[in-house]
Amino acid sequence: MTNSLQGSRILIADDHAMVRLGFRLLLEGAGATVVGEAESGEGMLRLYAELTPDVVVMDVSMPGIGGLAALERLMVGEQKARVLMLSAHHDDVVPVRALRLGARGYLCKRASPDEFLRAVTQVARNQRYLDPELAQAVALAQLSGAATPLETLTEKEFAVFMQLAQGRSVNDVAADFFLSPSTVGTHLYHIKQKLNLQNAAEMALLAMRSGLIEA
Amino acid sequence: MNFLARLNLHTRISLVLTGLAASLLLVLAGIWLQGARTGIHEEVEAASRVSEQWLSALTVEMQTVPAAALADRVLGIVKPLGRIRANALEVFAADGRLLYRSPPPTYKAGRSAPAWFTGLLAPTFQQRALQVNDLRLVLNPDASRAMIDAWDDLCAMAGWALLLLAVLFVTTRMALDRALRPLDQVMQALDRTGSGRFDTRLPVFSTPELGRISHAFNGMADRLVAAVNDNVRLETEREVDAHLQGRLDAERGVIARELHDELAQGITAVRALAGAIAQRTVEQPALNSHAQSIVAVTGDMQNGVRGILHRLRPPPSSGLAVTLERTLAAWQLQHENIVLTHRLALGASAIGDDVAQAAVRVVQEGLTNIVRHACASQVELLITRTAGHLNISLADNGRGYDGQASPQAGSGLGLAGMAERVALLGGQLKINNRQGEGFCLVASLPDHSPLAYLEGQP
Repeated sequence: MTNSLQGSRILIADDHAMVRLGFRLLLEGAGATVVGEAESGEGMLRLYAELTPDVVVMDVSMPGIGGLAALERLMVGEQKARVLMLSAHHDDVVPVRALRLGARGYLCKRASPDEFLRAVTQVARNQRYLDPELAQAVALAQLSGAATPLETLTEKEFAVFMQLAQGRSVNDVAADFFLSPSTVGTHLYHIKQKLNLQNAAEMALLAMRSGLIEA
Repeated sequence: MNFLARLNLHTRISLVLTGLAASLLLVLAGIWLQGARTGIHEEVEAASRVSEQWLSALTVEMQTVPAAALADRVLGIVKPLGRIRANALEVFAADGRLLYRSPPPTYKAGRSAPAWFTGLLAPTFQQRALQVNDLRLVLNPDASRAMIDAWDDLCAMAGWALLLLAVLFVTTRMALDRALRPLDQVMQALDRTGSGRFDTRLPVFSTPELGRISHAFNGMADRLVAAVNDNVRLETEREVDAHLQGRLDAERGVIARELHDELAQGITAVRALAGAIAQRTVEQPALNSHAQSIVAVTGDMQNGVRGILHRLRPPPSSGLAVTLERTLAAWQLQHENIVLTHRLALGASAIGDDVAQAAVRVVQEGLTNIVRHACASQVELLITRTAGHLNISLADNGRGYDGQASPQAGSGLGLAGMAERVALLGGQLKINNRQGEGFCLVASLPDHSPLAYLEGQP
């Protein structure tokens, strides 16, 4: 397994420098080459176009457009991209979204270093990977049919929802996503309609209770 | 009647008193009129008799006078006399010609009492006729002078009576004004209190009844002030509580965010770094085992952080529990003579906001009803959660529900409103009424809001 990543060219996207360093050392120890590090979704997109790595290891929550939106944009131009999404949260909503958007794998950041390497290896082989800790919840959420209200959001709406729920303003979000504020306003309107929310506080509460953001 | 109703109390009482006095005077006037009538009759009758006797005497004297000179003689005697004591005298010749008629009275000449008065009072008299040979002398008793005297007396008395009545009216009204002046003060005080000036007090009036009113009013105002102060104090405490709770929640949020963003990421980094060291030290068992230990310890640390984060999240049902506890505490404070025991088993998972609100409302309404109607000394509140339901049971040891509407205001709406509210959420409200053994309110609210569903997820 140590050499299973031999020759893989990997791009890391995480806003914590120490975390990036740790992952880089782990991956290099396993024989991979870390060709670049980005600290935001936008940076990842730029570096990907420049470096065309074999695998992208990306955190879900980052400044700017965040991991999910970056993933969506990446998959538009690079359907073949192999992306492993990392998250500090333990919910079932984000993994399902990420996998639908085209991520090959999804892993909790709490996972052990070995598990991390196993996940990267799987993705590098173009196989799917889902954190065992999340697998059950995700499977049950899919089976129960009564999908959470969040399931009704489109990908774009969900990305906007995540940003707004964290307390960011419509204008900020519009700037990050290169959208006009009125377009974000329209998304916001649809989000409120679909989730039956009245205000930003309820939005934050729902996101928090869904495990999408921490209290 | 409308006109009377518009008059104020003073005027109405004065009018009634004056009216009574007026009727009394009218009765007196009636009695006086009766007396006057008899008097007039006797007076005129007596005068007529005297005149008749005098004429009879004259008649006897005239027997000797020759017939030719008779008329002249008689007229010569009668003419200078004029009227004979309230009797008009007429002399007729044998052929019925009127020879003489006494002149109209000179006393209060030209005046006469009104016809209705005369008709009411005038006695009836008969003409008295005397025959002196061929001549006929006719005496007509005439009460008109006595009548005008009576009329003048009556007018004078009526004037005095009216004056008396006017004085009576004015005096009564002034006396009542004086006696009831405090009522204005009472009304002003009520108006001021009604508009929220609870510091208004009444002086103690000298009239005992009004004194009692001011005493009662002042007592009421004191209690009102005390109640308002209590409310303000409770409200303030509640605001302080809410403020503190808000600060606490915000602080928790900050701590949670820092734990998550900084500490958890740091641990992830350390874990990855330790993993990298372990990777590179497979040939150095001493170092490798230390690195493995670090990996293991960081795993524990991550679990620890996760546990702390979980604890820092506001417990989902704390909102309802806190609200209920506050409601119960405030209620207990206001009703110290009722022992309130409660057990809230709200569970760990979230309760939908609407269900929580309904639960609070049911408890509040139920407690209010107990105060109003139950005469209870003990109240027991039990809230439990069973699969998908929030159950509320509120029992008291009061007199139960006797099936009759309470005379107290606002009764009858509480239970209906409660049932409606519960039904809207798809729940049930039952009343277990045990006549004489108290009242037991049982509500069951379904608890499956979308948020509760999410909270149920791992």
